Amino acid sequence: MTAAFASLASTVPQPRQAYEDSTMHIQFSDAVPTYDGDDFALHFVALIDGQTVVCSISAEALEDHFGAASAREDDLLPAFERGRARIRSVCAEALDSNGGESVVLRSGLFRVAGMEPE
Amino acid sequence: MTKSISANNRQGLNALHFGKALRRSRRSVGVIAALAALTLSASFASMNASAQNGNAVAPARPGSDGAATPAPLAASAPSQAKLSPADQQFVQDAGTAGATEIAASKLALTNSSDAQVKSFAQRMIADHSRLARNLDIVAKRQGITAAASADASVTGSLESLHGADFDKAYIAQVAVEGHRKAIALFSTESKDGNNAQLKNVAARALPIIKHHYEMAQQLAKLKGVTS
Repeated sequence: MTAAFASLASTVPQPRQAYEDSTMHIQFSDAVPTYDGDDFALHFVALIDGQTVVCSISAEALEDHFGAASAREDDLLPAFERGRARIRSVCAEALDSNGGESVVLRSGLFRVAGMEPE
Repeated sequence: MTKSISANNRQGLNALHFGKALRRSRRSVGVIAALAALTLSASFASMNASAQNGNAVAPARPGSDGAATPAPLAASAPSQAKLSPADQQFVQDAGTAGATEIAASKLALTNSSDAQVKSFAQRMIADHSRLARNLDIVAKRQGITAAASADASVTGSLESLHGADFDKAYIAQVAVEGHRKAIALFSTESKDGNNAQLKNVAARALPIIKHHYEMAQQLAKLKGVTS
């Protein structure tokens, strides 16, 4: 990724294109995410250079951005399926910028991620 | 599965927003945990009598617990209520399941001659050691200090096997069946557990165990093992 592209990206709204030359090799398990009724979140596994890291997405994020009707497991799981590609992409960016620590994806992150103001 | 992803062109920007989100999330988790601990300690107070009656496992040392526990926990749950019998059973069963997984996978490193089986085993050793550490931390806070030991009936039957025979038994009994049982065990605890910290450990371990189960099924398919 060149500096020229980086400056372009900051002025022109870019579609969220992601899968490129990260310093880490980030993959995601295809296993169905697990529901956490205490934290109101789904947990799923990311594989960073083969190491498993548990990441989470809040029920609120799934309601706000992926059409979950409520915070119930039955509503969250289909919403996760619908948003899987975007969720993975945003999660990978988050992992990439924090060095591969476990992340919690909250609603605001998706709001910001789509727009990228100035 | 998967592609690698980069974000370096927007990294700075996102790191800012993300840092904020993360800080916020940590704070709210802390608050929720404190609230949960308060509510729980109340409910434990009423449960304590029955828990103590049936309690042969956990050593009774409420005083030393309080002293050994770091400040935030001690402050929010000074009573350090003991685990319910179901939670104690979970600690024991989860400990045994993990120790069995690790012991059998160590055997796989010597008794198997299949690269894929060995690499699966290596992954299991790494992940289950980490899960066991997380479980240990919570168990110790609750006064359970006994180290978990592997299920000898499983490791015993594997010890004498080598090569393809070992692979079959290891994949069927440990990789597939072991994780199938573990999913049930951890699911139940994450939904119905009484201790908030244990519930949380179970909920966070569950996706890893499900991932293992999926890997195990793929391995079984690859090696023609019917489970």
